[in-house]
Amino acid sequence: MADFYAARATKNGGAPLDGFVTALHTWDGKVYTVMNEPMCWVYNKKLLPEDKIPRDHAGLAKLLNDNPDTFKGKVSSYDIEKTGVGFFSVALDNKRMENFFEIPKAFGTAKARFLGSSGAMVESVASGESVFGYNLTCSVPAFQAQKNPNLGIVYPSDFTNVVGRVALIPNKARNQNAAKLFLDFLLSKDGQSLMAATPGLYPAHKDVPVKGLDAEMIKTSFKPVELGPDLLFNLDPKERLAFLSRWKSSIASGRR
Amino acid sequence: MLALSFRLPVVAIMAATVMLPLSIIAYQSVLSEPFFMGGGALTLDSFRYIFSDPAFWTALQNSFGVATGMVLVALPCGAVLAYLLVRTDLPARWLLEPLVLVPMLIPSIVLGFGYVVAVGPAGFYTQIAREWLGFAPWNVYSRATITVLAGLSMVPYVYIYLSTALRSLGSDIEEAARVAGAHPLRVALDVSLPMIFPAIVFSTVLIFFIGLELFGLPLVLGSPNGFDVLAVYLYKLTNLLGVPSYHLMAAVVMCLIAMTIPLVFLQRLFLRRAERYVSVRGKGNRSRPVPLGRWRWPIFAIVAAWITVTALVPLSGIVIRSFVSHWGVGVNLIEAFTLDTMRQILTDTVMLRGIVNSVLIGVVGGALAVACYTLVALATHRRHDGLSRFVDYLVLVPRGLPGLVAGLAFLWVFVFFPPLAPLRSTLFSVWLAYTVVWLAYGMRLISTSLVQIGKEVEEAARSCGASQGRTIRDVTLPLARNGLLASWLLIFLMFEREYATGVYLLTSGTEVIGTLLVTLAETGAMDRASALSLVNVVIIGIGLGIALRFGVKIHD
Amino acid sequence: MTKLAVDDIHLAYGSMDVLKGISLDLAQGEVVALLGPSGSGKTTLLRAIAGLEAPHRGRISVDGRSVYDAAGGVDLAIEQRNFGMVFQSYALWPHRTVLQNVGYGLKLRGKGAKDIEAAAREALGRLGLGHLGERYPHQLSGGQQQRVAIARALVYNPPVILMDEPLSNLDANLREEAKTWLRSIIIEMQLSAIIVTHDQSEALAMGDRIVLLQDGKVAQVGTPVEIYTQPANLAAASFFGRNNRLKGRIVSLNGGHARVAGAFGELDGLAKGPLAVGDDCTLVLRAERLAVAAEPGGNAIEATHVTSMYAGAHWEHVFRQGEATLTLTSPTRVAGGRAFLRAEPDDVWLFAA
Repeated sequence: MADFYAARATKNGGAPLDGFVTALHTWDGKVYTVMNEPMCWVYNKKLLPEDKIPRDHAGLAKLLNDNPDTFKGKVSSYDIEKTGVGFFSVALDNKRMENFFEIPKAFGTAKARFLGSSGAMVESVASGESVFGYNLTCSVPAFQAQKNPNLGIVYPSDFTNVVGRVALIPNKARNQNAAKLFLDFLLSKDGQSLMAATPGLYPAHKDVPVKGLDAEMIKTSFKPVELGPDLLFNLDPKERLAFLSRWKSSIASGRR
Repeated sequence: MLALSFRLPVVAIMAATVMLPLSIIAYQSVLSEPFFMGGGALTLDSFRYIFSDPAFWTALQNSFGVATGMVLVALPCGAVLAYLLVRTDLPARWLLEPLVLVPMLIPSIVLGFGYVVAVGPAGFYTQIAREWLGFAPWNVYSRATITVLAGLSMVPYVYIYLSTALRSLGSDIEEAARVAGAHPLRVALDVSLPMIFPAIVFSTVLIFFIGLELFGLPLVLGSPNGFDVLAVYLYKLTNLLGVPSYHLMAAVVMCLIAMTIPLVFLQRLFLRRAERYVSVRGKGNRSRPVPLGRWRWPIFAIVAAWITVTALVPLSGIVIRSFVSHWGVGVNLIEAFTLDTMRQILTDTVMLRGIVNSVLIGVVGGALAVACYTLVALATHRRHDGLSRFVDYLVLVPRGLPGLVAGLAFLWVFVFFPPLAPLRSTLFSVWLAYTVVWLAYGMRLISTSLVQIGKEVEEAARSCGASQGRTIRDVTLPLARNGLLASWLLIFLMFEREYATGVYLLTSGTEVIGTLLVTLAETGAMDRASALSLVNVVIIGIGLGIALRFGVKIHD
Repeated sequence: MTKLAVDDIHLAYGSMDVLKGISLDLAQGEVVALLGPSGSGKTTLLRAIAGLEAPHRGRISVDGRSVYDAAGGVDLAIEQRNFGMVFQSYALWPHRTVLQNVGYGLKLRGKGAKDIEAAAREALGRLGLGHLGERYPHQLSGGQQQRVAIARALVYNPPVILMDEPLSNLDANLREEAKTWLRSIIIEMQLSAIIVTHDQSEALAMGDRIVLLQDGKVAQVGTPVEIYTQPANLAAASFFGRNNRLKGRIVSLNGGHARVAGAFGELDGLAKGPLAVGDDCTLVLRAERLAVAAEPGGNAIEATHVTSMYAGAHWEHVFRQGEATLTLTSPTRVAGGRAFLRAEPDDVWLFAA
């Protein structure tokens, strides 16, 4: 795939980046992770009491099943058929935990709503239509939380998937040099620090501190995703359809 | 009446424009992968896949259910309203009539937002109801609600067709029934209703189609709860397998077309026979409006309530949402008031581009579309030969294509023919899709205007020495001017309300308000979606206002 | 016995007065022709009687019972007035057969299906349309449609039948035939009818009495002979026949007669209405009451022959006198050139100008 599309990114002036760059995830010198995107959960601070806030994947299903009054009709998640990132995030969850499909089953029981985007989930939770949202790309709620005091964010403590936002330069790009300059900036210390300082953006580099995120947490529970051809497992039609059908039947069985 | 040298090229171009997208869809549906990938063998696997997918059958069932429900809601409401406003002495008819038409100005997707924000589980009115009544007696996400809301949004169309038919009904046959001893309700059932039967059939089929291809409302209200209709099922196929599965989408489209196109032809056949019913135009005497007696004000209240639910509720939801930074349980709306969202919409490059594009496409694009429709209408003007019949049937084909599908099909056309590729990312591609989608509607508008010009006027010009072309230029078109202007206005309205057709053609540069709304809906940016919807409705209102000011009449 | 009484009906469209106090009555078995130029209000009056238009003052009663009474607050709905009405366009229901059209009134009155069919067939048979029961209106000729419309109005035996220009939609030759036939049906069935027409020959032929309307008011009521030979005012005089009109001034009066002078010279005429010496007046002479003579003498006008037109049953001769054109009818030709047109003084009608 990459051979068709990505040109080799080369350095062009500016501070040397090597040491810095190699600390980031790259693939074949062509695709770079420039930003990180933790997958977090959101909840409505006003409506969800402290003791009911889900904190980790392992206990989520039980929490939902044990508290139908709090959660029934008030849970939202990605519609993984509609969104690639939604699918990806639950596929990752499945890889990283046992008995993942208890979670969609619990969603079924709770008559959860499946929305097309993080933004829609934020809207749903912030307005109180839902009290809990599962697996959002964190940039959206982080930005919204500034304006809306009712929005709470949870980084699951057993593991928090961190998906990378990647950048690459297509072979046939018309302004390759401008692209390379921009890419350099994104990867530079200045660029990464700027990201750290902007709410809603998360730098890719481990060593750049981010306001509001516990450094410890980053080291222990944040699990970045490795770039590589293995990720393409996601796109294999058979695998995908199999996963989708298992997802849907779990939900259905929970509904009954 | 024009020469073959004019008619043939026009018809050929039109045929190409209509049949090309369709052919590509058909071709793609039997390929094993997207046609631009190069490889791919002929296979029926795509059909096998969707026929074995339970989600497909559920979506199909749901679409039928919604379509039928919409007819059952819209037809009676529209008929009753038409009768009340045309024939009776209901108070303030001059005010009610334009208000009844207001939902026509609001795209269905905007209606969806509006209802969610206004009467969704955490909506403004829902919260008020909870405070006053302790509970809110409605559920905006139920499939019944979706069907009813969709049906109500169709009422203006039914109203227009039926009220026009009622108005053109010679009053004398109704008077004759009354003199013979029938009271007004009896007259309505025995005489008026049967006489406007063609209009009723037409409206029914129209609503059924729109129901089958409904996209916006179910996307916003139904999808989150697993209630998918065919158009949403199609839309989901874009991402279902990670990469757009065009072959599967094409197969779904072929199924859809297989249902809608025969329906269209059937309707036309039916109308042909029913038109023999048309009565001799009696003397249009001033008819005494049927007095409603003591029912006058109660009925007025009901109609007013209806208008409130279908127009004011969603609109107010949108207006409020555009001006608050957040909302929901326990939020004081006045504190949350902000102009930021509006400011964002009106300053963001992409948004601005979308707004400008929308206006361009509506005004300029609309005029161009009317010009094209006029050319085609002229090619069949006063000629009833094989070529005209061919055009008549051809024009019906795009009617069977939902907007979403048409946009996709045109995307493929541009991809399929490399020389056309640069056009793909210009507004032209969107305009082309719009023009074809609305071909049948526009043609009908224009033909009606042209046909109303008496044959003798043209014959008089010919006998003075004017050629066919000259006659069209000097006599026909000037006389049809008002009709053409009215058509321009209506096409403008339709184009402004479009949202599904441009979805697959969406790229940097071709944004229009409608497609931006779909994107915003999908990313859940309800505040911006509401603000943009407000801008959309305002634009439509302004356009309508300008046109009415210049004396354009929607119906005479 | 009065069947229908219309009393001082006033009707206005907005600020425009259309009927300005009309009264008439209809006896049992009588045919009244409502006649007048367009805009005179005759159709409006007919529709007001039927309830299709709303007057604001006056009274309408059938067999003594009010169907409309402004003072008494009575305004029966259209469907309760029990009139039979024949519309100018016939207004047949295109989606029903002829039989269903005719039987509708009985159906509304709750008659059984068998009775309805029998009565409808009988009505159609009487009008010579018995074989057309199963056809649809668009399959009938104009004359046939007219008869269906009449059958439909008769079938439930209404006390009064209202007809709005029943002959105007027929071809000229059919019209003559229909005139006779319509009158005979009315007489045979002893109907009480009001017929609106703008055609004086129809009114003269079909009406037992004529009510002439002009500008929302009644100009004259009388039998055809009365109205034609003794018009009470200029409106009535000008409406009928072929008239010559001249302007003059009263020179002298002599009992009911007067001498008039004008551009045409001097003539003796019959004064219609109060006239004094020196008054301006209008002279009306019927074309068939003028005779051509070669020599002067008697009550005559000198004129020059312009042209003659052959009308089959008679000739129409056009003469010119000064600025005025005079027409007279005669069974024979006349010589060209100068001639003297003679009229009996009683045939020269003088009206106030």
